Amino acid sequence: MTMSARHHRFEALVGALLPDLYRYAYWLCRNRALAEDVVQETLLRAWRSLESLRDEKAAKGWLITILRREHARSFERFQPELVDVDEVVLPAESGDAGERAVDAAVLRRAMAGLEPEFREPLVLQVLMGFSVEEIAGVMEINPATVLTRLFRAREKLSVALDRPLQSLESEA
Amino acid sequence: MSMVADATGCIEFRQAIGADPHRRDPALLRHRIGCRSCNQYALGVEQLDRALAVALAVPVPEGLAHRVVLRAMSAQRWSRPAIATAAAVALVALGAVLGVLWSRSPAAYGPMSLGAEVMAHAHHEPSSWQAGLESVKAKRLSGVLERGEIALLDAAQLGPVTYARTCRFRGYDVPHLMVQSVAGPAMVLLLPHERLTTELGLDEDGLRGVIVPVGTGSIAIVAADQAAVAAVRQRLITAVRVGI
Repeated sequence: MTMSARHHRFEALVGALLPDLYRYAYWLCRNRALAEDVVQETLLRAWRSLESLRDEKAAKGWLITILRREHARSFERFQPELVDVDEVVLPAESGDAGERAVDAAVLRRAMAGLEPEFREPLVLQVLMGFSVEEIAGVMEINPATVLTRLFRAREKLSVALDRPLQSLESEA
Repeated sequence: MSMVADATGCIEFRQAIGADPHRRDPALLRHRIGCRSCNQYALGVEQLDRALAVALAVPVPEGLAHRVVLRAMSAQRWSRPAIATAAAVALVALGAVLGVLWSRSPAAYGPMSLGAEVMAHAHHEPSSWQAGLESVKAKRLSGVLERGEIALLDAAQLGPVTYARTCRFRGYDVPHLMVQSVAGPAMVLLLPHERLTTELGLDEDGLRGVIVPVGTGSIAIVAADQAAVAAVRQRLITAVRVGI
């Protein structure tokens, strides 16, 4: 493969996935600068081992796997001082801003408060659109554990938001 | 999945939908249609997920794609930490290679090199080689060493010195000695101003030698026989102090 063809292939592969890679990295480390560093290192490794990616449909999982490893490495190298998600100034979403924007900020705080083992599968499912089996593959845990964590993550969020998803006891 | 039984109950339904709101198993759909409360639960989960999708989509830094993609492709096969490590290793390796080349190649005897000048001095002062076996007087030896800023620590260890003269060498007055050993005589230049980081071997026109870093200077030893070089070297290192 010529260098220009390699460049083209790489740009096509990562271009569309980059925003979600960054967001995933952000929710792993909850720090903007570190997230960008992790994404940078991920792309460097991906570029170097581009030939190892046989099926381009698997690019998303391939990149996420590299990113998780880079994130783990970054924590081996140093323990960054994380910026709490409360302090991150995020612009209000467009559209029906008002109440929805407030909800997003509250949700972000609630997400940041979740333990990593609950937060990560939820991010992979909701943000990245991964199936339970794909999440199990990425996180190297069994699908039943993924289902349990996802269920518990939503329950925890609903409690943190003070919005119970409706209890069985209150039905009768 | 075990969370969905054939006859789906409310708990199983909520566990399944709470884990994956997009599941569309027929058993789940049947339960949802028949259970108003679980339908409300499912709607609540879907609403939470819609809000979550918005909340998780944190803003991506401006220009991120341009920065990181270009940097990755321009980095080729080297990451930043790898470049730093490789650069450090390369510098050390380069130093080692240059040291070896300096000590072994003919370039070490180039017109301006220390090795070449030592060998030239050995060749151009033949009288020193024909000095005989009579030792020079102690006073003469101490005078030559003193002018050359060399301290004699152990005269007995130095052994018989049959020639001692102050020579101009590379801009300095340095002691030029002929030291006897069982393997024959060796010419010695004591060089307090020539600082070396590594030993330099000499081999030219039937003469062999070495320039050894000692203290803040060095000692050059040249002889017809390598054994003489080795024997005199061993004694000199403890007999004199060169430099600080």
